[in-house]
Amino acid sequence: MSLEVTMPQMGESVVEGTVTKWLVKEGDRVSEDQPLCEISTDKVDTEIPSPGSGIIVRLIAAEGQTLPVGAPLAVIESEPAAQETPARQAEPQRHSAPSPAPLPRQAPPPPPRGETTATASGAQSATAGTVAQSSRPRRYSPVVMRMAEEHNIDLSLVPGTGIGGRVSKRDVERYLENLRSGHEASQAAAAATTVAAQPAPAAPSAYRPPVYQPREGDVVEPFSRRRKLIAEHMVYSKTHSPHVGTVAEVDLTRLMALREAHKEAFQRREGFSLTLLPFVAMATVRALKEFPRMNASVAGDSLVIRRDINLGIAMDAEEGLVVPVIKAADTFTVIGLAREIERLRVKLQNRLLNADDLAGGSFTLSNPGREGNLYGFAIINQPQVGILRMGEVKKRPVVIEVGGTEALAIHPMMYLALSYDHRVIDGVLGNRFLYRTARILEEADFDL
Amino acid sequence: MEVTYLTAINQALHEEMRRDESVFIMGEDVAELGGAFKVTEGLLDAFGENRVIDMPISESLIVGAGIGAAILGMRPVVEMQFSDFIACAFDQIVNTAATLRYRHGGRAACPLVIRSPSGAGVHGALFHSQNPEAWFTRVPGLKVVAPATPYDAKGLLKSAIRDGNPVLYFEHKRLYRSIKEDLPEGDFTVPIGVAELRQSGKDLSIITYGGTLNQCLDAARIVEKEDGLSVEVLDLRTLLPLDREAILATARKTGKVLIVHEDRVTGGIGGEVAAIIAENAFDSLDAPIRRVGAADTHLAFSPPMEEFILPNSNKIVEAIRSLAAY
Repeated sequence: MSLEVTMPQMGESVVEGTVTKWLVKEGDRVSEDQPLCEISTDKVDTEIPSPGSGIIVRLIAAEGQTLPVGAPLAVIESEPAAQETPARQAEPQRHSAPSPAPLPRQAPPPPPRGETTATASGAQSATAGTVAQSSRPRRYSPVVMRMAEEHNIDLSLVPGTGIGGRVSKRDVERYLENLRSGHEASQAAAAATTVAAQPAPAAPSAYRPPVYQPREGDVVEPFSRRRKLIAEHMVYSKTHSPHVGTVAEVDLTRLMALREAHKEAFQRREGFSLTLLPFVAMATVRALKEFPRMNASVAGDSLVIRRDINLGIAMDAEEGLVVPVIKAADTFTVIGLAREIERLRVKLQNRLLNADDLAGGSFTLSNPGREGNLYGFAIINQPQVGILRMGEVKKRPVVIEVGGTEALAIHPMMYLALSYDHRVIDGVLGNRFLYRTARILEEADFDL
Repeated sequence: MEVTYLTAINQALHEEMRRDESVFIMGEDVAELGGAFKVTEGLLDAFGENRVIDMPISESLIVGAGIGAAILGMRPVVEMQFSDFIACAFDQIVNTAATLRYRHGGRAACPLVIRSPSGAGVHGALFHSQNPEAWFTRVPGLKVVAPATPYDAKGLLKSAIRDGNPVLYFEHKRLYRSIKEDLPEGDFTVPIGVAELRQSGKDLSIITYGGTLNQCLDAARIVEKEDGLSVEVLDLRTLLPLDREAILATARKTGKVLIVHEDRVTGGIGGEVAAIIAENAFDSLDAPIRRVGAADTHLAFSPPMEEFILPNSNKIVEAIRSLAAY
């Protein structure tokens, strides 16, 4: 009997994964739960355990291949292949006999690509790493060349989506379409204002970043998959969501006193220290309950207000920032939140976070810690609509009222910065939400 | 009525023999036994032993006798029991039948049909699985057809019988009883030299014929569903002469061409199709022309090995995906 190993569903939002490394080869005998390969998704890296024991008869997916959930990765023969039923009919056209598991297929042919291109990239990759892509001379298919000539377009301006960034016929068609609709839009605008408009620029952008010139001593670090995803996510967020930043000043006197009172007992009981973070998380959750529109996502042309408050906590990891999510954060006490944060932190440390730990966030809290500086505006974790970032806690002289007179006092203070998506959150709402979060923290009315 | 590919051939033979008295059949076991695959079943009863003739096991003799009868005005339909053995008649076909009209300044004709059950996927191993069509597709004076559907099997056989030239008719054994089609009542023919667009598409073109047509259509359905790709499928139907216009039209339309046949890749008709496209539609191409065919080896008896050697819809899906991504 043969078992098929498929790309697992590693979380509700995960639709595909990349086989980063095979840990077995064809012909290997494997036992159940033995790791077969390493998979990387946009959320998490993990190993795929064998669904049974047997012999690997075929590795279907190649290293580096990105495949949808459910796609076959390998075939395991769990016991000696069943003998084929002997022919009952003499006639050779019988063809209904079950076909046994196919043998390892021939290695797939190398991606079709011009010799010279391959050589050029090979030579350059040694020195310039990933940057080589942009500087190597591009080659075009005959139809792309012809279309460029017919429409008088500069192919270096056309983004390529084919293998290795190749410009395909479809890319040129898409580019021409964009050009055309851009022209139409600008013409319409000109007609509407009856101003003699300048002809719209043909190219979508005049600026191009300078081509990388290698210099002695340069260290070229190609993006890891995680880094590439983070980069694309950040660019997407900044270009799609107009970020508005607002900062609140929070007096932590009461909160620090509360923490001080419970610190030792907590450490003894729980085995880890009580930090500021669970309190801020709690305050955020309470404020989100008061302003449910902040606990939302943008989906196409809709704002989706989420019922559950799933609070993402940004954490620093070796390969880049990750945001594990506390599911149903509104059902926890401060201690519960502290335990959840600690649980996720330990999981992250031991590289045990799975895709579900990272999926489904509805709002994000970022705590850069002791060296987080005065304040800073975080980039919104898409498709959420806001992110809170804690600044450093510092003792400052503040003006307080004591018995009707003003006095100077030294209080622990923190700046709390909110970035919100101005497409869907108006200033009134953003300001009120942040104001409430800050007041909840100052009141420090938390049960421990 | 819905009939199998095999019945369609049998019907064509019945109808043509009824229509034209000069049509007769020769081959190994074609009369008493009704053919190794029962393609000629019932013909002996219907037309008698003068028109349905069992021959000795000698392909050269069978084709030679057919050529002689054709020169004298008959329209023989001879059967190679397995197309693997057509090689025994190679000289009669390429040197005698194909050259006859040329040798006589156009004053003699050889209206001969050679039916040749071909193809693999039936666990027939080396001697009962071959696709020898490309040995003949470079010989002027011959016509070569390879139907993929019951309709074409019937219509092309009728056209072959009515043609004034030697026609090699390659019928795929695996299709005999595996496909069915509703055929119209009455007489119809399918023209030789005309390809058929089985499915219109815009992302890439598959050019195929015979035993791999259905695999290509299956693959096209899979990538349409899973990848949203729109694949055009052209069935050549005739391999000599090729329908150059249809080939170039699909190549120019999509700019990406995958050629699929069960014959081996090296020396298969796919190479010629690729050359026609490269020569005449170069500036429409958006990717290298790709081929999927049998591996360059002999067919193995072992079913997994046979599977490994032959093209199938999974291999076609892979090729489509890589070509689409290019």
